[in-house]
Amino acid sequence: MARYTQNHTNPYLKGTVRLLLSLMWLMGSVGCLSPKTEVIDMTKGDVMIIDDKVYEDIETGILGPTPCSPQKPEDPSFRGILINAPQRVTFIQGRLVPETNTFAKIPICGYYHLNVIYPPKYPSIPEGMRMVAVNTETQEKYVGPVIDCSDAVPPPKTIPFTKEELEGISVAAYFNPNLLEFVPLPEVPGVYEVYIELGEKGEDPYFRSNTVTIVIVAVER
Amino acid sequence: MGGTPGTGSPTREAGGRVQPCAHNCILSVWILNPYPQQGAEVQQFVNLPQGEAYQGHSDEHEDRRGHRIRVRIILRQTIEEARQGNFRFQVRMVPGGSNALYTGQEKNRAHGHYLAQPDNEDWSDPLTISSGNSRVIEDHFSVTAAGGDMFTIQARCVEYRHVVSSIPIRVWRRIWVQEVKMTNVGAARDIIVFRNKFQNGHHLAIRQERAVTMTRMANIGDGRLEKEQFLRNTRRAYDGVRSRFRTRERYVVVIAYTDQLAVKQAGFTVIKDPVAAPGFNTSEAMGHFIDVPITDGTERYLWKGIDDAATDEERFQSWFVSAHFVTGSRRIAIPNSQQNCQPVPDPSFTPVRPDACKKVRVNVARLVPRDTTGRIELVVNVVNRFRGGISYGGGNLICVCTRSWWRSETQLAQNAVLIHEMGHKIGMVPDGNPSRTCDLEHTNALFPNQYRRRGHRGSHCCAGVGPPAAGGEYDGSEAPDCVMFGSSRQNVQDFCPHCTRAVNKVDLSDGWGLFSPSGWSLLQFF
Repeated sequence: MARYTQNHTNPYLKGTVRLLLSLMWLMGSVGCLSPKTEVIDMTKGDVMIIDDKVYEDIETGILGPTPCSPQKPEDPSFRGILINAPQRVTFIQGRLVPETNTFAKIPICGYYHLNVIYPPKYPSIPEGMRMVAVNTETQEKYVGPVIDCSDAVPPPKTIPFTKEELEGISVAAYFNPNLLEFVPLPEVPGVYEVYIELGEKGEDPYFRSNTVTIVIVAVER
Repeated sequence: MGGTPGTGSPTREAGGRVQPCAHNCILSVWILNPYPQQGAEVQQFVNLPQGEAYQGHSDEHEDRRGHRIRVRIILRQTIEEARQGNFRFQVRMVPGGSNALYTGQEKNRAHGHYLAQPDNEDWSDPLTISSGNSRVIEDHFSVTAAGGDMFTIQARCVEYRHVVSSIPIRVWRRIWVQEVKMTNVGAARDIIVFRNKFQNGHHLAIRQERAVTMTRMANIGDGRLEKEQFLRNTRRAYDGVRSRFRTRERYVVVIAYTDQLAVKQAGFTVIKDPVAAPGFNTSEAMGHFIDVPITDGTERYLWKGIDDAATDEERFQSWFVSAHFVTGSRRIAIPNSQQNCQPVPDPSFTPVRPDACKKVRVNVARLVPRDTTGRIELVVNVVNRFRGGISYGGGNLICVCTRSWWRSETQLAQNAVLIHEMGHKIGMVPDGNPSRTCDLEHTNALFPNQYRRRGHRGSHCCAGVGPPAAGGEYDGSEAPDCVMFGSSRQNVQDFCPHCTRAVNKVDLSDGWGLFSPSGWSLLQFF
């Protein structure tokens, strides 16, 4: 059964959503959908139709497209960061998810398409990103990276690309961190607005992804 | 029952009365069952358990394990021969001047495995020998958990205050390592650097058992299946020799040598825009090559030669996903892609490694009828990074790679990785969280160089490096002073003074649980 996750400020999902909604309307009209799936809240922005259950199967940490990755925007001029995440995540107090060793698994499925700048401002684009979670009630802000490359064997000294070689180069890629692996949220229920930033506000370039809202709920054993 | 006599003749306690030793006094203080010894010191393997169940599985006598010390006080003559009545004496344990200092918090922590500090430095209440010429003192002396700590046990005659000392007792820890080597990989021939580092520097003796082999896997990446397969293979190999360890298994660390530990970035798209493609009739029509650099700020290398590939086609498919020339709304697939998308070996590698490619040369000729401007969209799989090793938290497995960047890791580099991962295995670097299972100081002020994140995962030490440059993350160009820096260097094998203290103090009596074939997801420190 589909669940509708609200996403904010993501104009590139609109076309997809319209298409999917039309399809759903058609399917619903012939009785393919249960009544529950017809309840769609679009008041806060766009809708990305991914069942929370699909996120449970996402292997966090891998670098590549997954079934929950944001769709690549049609517009070739798009430069930015997009993320998808489950709407509701449950945890059992005092128990760790064996797969991640965190109290819950919250995949943040991301996609970016950005220009490669010269000279580089970060070791790499994903290493320059920050994952931000803001508790909607307390406004407390939690920040962490999206990737950890500390285990890397440093590369041999090589000749870097020149400015000319990087002229007109942009890059698009996927990432899927577990929010809790990088952002130390407390093990208590809460509602968080999560987004990803690259660069500092007021600087050029600065990018901020769409914001997703995640409800973390404690459940009984 | 064996024993080691005290050193030298009776001495006068500072400030005590000067008396000739003309009566029946203490001849020596014997450490009971004093083997093994190193030089003139008795070795006390404090992390190993005492008890019958353990007997026979270790070279050390039971008395040389655990924290309890037994001594025998021996007189010159028997009470009966001396005819001077009962002999009264006192005992105490004197810690060495350079022993580890424990914080008040540590002393108060109820652990149960050891006493953080001997509480018996003061002279005991008088004890008596009423017959024979000796008495065994049981359950009175305990040493700390800290490797390298030194203790001497003293006895003195109550009447004349003559003091006799035992030979020194040095605190050691002992663990075993079982190497599991993939077949046909260049695993370190010896790990003497690793062993000496802990043994000589930190009184952590490492016994190395004969290595066993397991099936080779070309690469272990971030994917669940390959990690589980690797763990199953390692466990199968270890289970074959598990009986070697029996009750001491919890003091065994398994070292698995792998081929590569490369992490793949799949579906990495590089767009070059604008690109001019020649029309069919131009002179360049047969070949117009455009170099596409593979980068996202850092140079990315193609996923080439990482997996086992039997044919050129398989080798090509491992890195190539798709290539298009896009102009307006037209999206033209580059035909015959294996010929028209050529990986370019990076010439800066010496010697050149044909699989190390960070550029793809794309032929855009014969795609469009007239000269046209568009863009190349190239989708490839790339290496996100080569990892040096993994320490699986919660279990007793360390993983060391033997190849990265299309070359073999040196023996020294593998040893350096082992030292770093072993550091994590014993709880480095203390981070101020008192709930940690190991007994390390957990006052951040004592570890000013401890850090988390900054581009590294886990708790590390930035001694000699300082805070990262603007941007908040280390970039790999640092020259650290401590092997616990988040990114290992083969020429850095020493712990900094702060970390040294913690490595020495850590209580290893809990040991480690056996790694589980499904435990891939446990914490990974790097």
